[in-house]
Amino acid sequence: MSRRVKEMLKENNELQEQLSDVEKKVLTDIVVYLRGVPVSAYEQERVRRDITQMLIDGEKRGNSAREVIGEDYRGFCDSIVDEIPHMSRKEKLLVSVRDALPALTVLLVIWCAGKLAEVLSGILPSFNCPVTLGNLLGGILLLAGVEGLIMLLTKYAFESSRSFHVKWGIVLAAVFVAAVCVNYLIPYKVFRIHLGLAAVLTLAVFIVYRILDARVD
Amino acid sequence: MIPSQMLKGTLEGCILAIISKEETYGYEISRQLQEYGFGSITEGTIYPLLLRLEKNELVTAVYRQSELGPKRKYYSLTDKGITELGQFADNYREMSAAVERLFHDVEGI
Repeated sequence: MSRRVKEMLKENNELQEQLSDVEKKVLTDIVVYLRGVPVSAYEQERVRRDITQMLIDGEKRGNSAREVIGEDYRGFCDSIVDEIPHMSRKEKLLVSVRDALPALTVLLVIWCAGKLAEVLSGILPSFNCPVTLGNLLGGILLLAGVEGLIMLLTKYAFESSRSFHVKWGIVLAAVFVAAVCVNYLIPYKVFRIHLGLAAVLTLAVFIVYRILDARVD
Repeated sequence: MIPSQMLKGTLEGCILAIISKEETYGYEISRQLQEYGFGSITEGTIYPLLLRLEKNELVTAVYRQSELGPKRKYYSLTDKGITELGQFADNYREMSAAVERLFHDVEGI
């Protein structure tokens, strides 16, 4: 994320500490909801600062978040989103790629570490490691699962019913279990890659993430 | 209490009118609207409208430490906002006069 967003994020985190736990929870739900809408992180933080100040001011007067904002938090957020600039298609694409890269880096690190352990323990005869169809499909499923989890958390930030969380918790757990199973149950080798090259690729993915992260927002 | 549907078209203009009196902030606008008889309008209703006014360059906003309390976002009218307020006032008076003329001719109102 850009320097101006980083600074604003830090300021807002400090500002939020002035709120009581109850109001902090309301603000967190609002912020989580706003994280899921197609507006830049800069706009999100700008609005977050305004709402935080509004709530701090209200608390000093003895007013709760409901008295300051009203009963419908989601409606409040939606009416804000209608009034702030949305990201262009290109910006949205860059943000999606940027957000997927850390998870991809983690998956690649885990894969490399696993293969290194197999080489060192003699399971694999050389550093030329096979990449199976299961590895690829499992990875895609995991990435999709993470994306789905973020989408659910943001879209339903104001949903508090237990059954809702249990239902979606089961669906997501099933996706993650399926991803792990697919990884082990489809051993068809697609290609081979030297572990050193895989490590370099992992580093490259991470560098691309850092470059994008500094430019997007 | 004024129905929200009826308020919708006029609230933006009324907010501009309040800001035109002096530089002010969200809660104060909500308080003044209540004093003028608009009923209880939360800052949550006003804030998105202020964002719209800011986006349309009718008001400018600046964060400043208030005299007694926390930092607040103060709003003031731009030249475009002053023109818009004048147009709103003309349109509103025209509509209000038309409704009054109609009511005048309808018995029982």
